[in-house]
Amino acid sequence: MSSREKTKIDFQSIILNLQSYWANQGCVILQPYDKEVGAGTFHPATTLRSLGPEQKWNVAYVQPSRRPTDGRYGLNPNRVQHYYQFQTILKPSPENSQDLFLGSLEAIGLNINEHDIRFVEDDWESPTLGAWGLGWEVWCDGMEISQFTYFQQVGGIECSPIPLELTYGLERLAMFIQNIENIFDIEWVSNSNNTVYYKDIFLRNEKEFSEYNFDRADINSLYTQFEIAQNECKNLLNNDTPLPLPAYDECLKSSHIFNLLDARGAISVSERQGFILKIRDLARGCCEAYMKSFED
Amino acid sequence: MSDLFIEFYSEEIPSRMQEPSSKSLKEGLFKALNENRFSFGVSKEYFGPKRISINIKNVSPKQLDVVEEKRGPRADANDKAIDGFAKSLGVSRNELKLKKTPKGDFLFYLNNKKGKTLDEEIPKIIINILKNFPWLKSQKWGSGSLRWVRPLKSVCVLYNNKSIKFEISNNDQIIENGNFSYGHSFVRKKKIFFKNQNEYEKKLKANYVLVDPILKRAKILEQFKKISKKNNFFLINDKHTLDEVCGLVEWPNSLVGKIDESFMSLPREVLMTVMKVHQKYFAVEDASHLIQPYFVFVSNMPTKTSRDKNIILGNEKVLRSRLQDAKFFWESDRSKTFSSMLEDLKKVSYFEGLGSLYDKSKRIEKISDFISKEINISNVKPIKRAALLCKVDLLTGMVGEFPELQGIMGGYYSSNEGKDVSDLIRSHYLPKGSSGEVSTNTGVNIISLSDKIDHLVGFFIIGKLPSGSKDPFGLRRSALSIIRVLIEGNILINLDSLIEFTSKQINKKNIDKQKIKSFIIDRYKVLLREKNIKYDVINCLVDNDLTFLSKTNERLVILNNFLDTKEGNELKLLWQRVSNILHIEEKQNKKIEVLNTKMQSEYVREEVNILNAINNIEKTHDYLKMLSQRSSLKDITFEFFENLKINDSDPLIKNRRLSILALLREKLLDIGDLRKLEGS
Repeated sequence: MSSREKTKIDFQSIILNLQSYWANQGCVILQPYDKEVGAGTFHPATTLRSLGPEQKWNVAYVQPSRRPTDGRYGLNPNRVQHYYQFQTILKPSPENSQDLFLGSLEAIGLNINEHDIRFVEDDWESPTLGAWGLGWEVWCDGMEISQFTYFQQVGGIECSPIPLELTYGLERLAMFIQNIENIFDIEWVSNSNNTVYYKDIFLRNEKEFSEYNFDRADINSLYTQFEIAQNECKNLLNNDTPLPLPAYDECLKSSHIFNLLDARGAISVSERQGFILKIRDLARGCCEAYMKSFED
Repeated sequence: MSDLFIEFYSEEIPSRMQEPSSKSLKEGLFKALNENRFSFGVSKEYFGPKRISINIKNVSPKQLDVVEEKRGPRADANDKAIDGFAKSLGVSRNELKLKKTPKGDFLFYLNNKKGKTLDEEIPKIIINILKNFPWLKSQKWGSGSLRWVRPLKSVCVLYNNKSIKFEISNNDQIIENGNFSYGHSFVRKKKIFFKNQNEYEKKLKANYVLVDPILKRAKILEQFKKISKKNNFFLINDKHTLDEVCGLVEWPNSLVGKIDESFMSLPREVLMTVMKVHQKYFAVEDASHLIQPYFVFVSNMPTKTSRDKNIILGNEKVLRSRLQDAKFFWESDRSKTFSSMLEDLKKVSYFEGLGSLYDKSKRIEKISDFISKEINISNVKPIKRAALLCKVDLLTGMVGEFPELQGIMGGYYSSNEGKDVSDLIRSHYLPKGSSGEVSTNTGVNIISLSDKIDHLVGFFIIGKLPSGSKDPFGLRRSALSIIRVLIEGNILINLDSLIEFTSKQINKKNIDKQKIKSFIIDRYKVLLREKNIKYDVINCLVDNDLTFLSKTNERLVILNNFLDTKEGNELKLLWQRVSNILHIEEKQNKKIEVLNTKMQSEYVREEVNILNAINNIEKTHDYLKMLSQRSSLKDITFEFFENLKINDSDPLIKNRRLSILALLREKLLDIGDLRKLEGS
């Protein structure tokens, strides 16, 4: 860190600063979606609203994200099965997208003129959402700190206008800014009379959930739950008056259950593709029903 | 005559697309200028992370004038038709000209089309190029329908030192257009105005953009040299990473980072992969090729001590966390005995219908055993052992994280199996890609061949064949590797029995083995064409006999070269003359027996001479000798034709002479199916 960046900014201030920065740019500051998801993209404020008829949709929110296979029982300094993403959606993508993004880095105490920021090709694709876009992973001194994507398709449907998605991995960003090498050493809050570390909040969580994800989750029950969520989703869609929003919740559930089954090692290579296609069909159905609801 | 300069400035263009897109821009412009009748001279292209641009010398200011001819009615047509034609063009009747054509006299209108100026025409040309640009992948942005590789920010068109302005927009977003570009994205993100190519290079350089890709690369290499000298080490040559890095910087600043000594116990390949694949760093070594605890990387920020220090610290930290992962895998993978993991391959499916990776390993073992015995390898044991264990490393943490280290990790992890076994495991993926080297170790080639033939036959059995340009399971690549290992590894095995044996291991009976063989032969023909072996020569030998690929290949090369020599030419002449004569007779449904009786006393001298010569030639393993022996028959055969009439009035004599020729033809066909030769 350079001398100008002496003041360490804590985790919660990173969130607060990002929120206030994007609020100042005219974003609606939303709260996390209350379902288990693998990334901020799954929040309906991104998926469905990227497609929806509003010509303007600017939001930002924090989304807890769960990736059961990334759990390491709290032993790995870089990997956890539960972490936070900060997500910004700007639709249509503004003319000064890159400048706005760089401004947000400054807002959390990163002096971009004292580092080497790079936009490195990384075309984003979510097979389960039937979504893809072009963009970059953003590097700061060789570390990936954000994903920057111009969505082109969601749920198999062309986006118009084109939304810009900015995804910040908050823990990584915090580790960079606080100049530490272990995720559990992140200072969540730090002031003169109180310091709470990431490990104080999440270490036990990582241990228990890693054990659950890898060793304890009941495979048969998960298969059943997958079936139930899938059927519920289909029933809600295959109706004279479909309910795409509740159906989408069921789609999210099925996706998380699939991730758990995957972590349990219950899915073979060949079965994997089949599951992904099933979830993609559900996501497509939800997106199509959602769009259709605006036609009438 | 003046210069035309064009720049498209955008958000970051993927590194791998910069050079190809620069080529497309050049080709597109040249084509458009030609079609629009502008003359032009040489060009110079520029490309980098944020722009592709081009300067074309001596572009004509005006299109060439042309005369456009419109044909009207016949000269003797009635007035109504002639007036109608003139009226439709908005001209008077006396402006029409009479012209003679092969079909009679017609009235024509000759329109002298004056060429328009470049200033007028270039906007249309540019917009057309912009809208139809052949990007590998392109996107829309904002609320518009324009497509570019990433959002396009500005377009600059200069002609004769002046900017040509026109309007481009992406719905409500205007794409700027004028006599300017932008400096370095971070340190000089401002408009830079310029009048021509010269100023463009100079002013961008003053604003930290090295816009000439050749100079930029040279600059990086010069920095590498300096760094190497100063630190007394050598950068390990890595063209791929260098290409990529060139496209990631506008202003290269090469820096050196240090690696903690504690990571230096990791295998060289692991260190290099971590640095290269994820971070695009360059590894370094000393004069004795020992990898050193440093790495070199190229920053995009102009050098400044405090900033360089930040950037180095940051990159060292990232590498440290990556190496920590690698070290964790290196240690945990080695805590188990390598061979004990074999059983775990049962849990991993190879592909639906083709069993588990364990099943596959057992098959590779059996096929390797089969090949070894076919080609008389004395010590089969290490080959079988390596074949059985060669896929085990797929289960290790390191290969899970870095798939490109497959094989290599197996080599390290199997060290307790003995050096011969671990060497075989390490290299069994060779050859990599279409131009990667084939091993010189026969054992490696046997396992590689077994692995690939199992893959190819397996996917044929479950019917997952390539179609069109799609080859999702890499069957063409497998076939090519099989061919190269057979030829370059000089493995003399019967291809039919290899396919037969392999398909038996997969245990399905109903498979068309000929189809698999044809697939391999087709790839082989493609490969031969790439090596400039002529079609007719290929067909001459490949369809005829492709049981032992390496043998056939050897002959192909010999025949291809031989036919270009004087001797080869004589062979062709001989073949053509002999086969033509026989062909004419055979066309009349006559069957010509090959002479098989002993020489008779009534034979004339010429017949005796030629028969002696024919009987003297051999069928031998020395193919070149076979060719030259047969070619040497040309003179005596042509003498025979000159001195004797084949078409003798006595049918007995005529048939005898034809039979002699049939015998000669049979001998000639020993060298290949000459009927496929051009001119036959």
